[in-house]
Amino acid sequence: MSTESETNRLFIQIDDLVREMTDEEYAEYEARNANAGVVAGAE
Amino acid sequence: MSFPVFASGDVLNASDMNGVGLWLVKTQTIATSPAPTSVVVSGAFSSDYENYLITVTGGTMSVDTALGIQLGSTTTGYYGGFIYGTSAGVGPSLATDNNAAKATYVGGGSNSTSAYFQVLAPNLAKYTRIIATGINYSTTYGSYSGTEASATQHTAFTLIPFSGTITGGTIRVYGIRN
Repeated sequence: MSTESETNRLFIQIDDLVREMTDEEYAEYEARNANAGVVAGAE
Repeated sequence: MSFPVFASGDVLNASDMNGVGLWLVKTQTIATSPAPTSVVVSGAFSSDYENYLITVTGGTMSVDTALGIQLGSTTTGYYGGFIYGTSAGVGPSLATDNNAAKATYVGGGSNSTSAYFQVLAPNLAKYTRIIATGINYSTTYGSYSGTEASATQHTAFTLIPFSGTITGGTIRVYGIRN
């Protein structure tokens, strides 16, 4: 299953609507991942 | 009537109905395609209930990892502790959220993704507490207690896999009667 669009932008679901992330949402996603570290049990 | 057992044709007395503890606020199906990296559930919290039970059942996460939650648009100030062990006998261990961008551990698992957690006072102008039990992903098993440390009154939440996507499955939000 594809997780990226032709613009390589990830998808977000809001209620019943799935759409590409906006620039702001994508930046938030990237920032969150950058600060996430390692999940417990996976180290 | 012998509450809480009802028979066909019984009158629904106010005294009985006012004793019902859980009310289904919202059901939301997680999309299967395209696969979302996060799922926003709006209209989940209101002044009708102070506390909530949220379940996620039957989904699929592309990575066998933790499922987290963000309240409203608040992306800072999450604190909490995840006490966990592994089915291989390692632990108990502790992982923490210390001013994190979300409550990291409320569920997870790539096969039949699940979550079962309570959210306390999300719509009050006070800190919000999050209590999650039965968390399992990969060989990790544990429980989480967390706080979103602001006075923001939330009406929505977002489910966020630690990495990858989540597809399918059903989110249910129940209000716990005040």
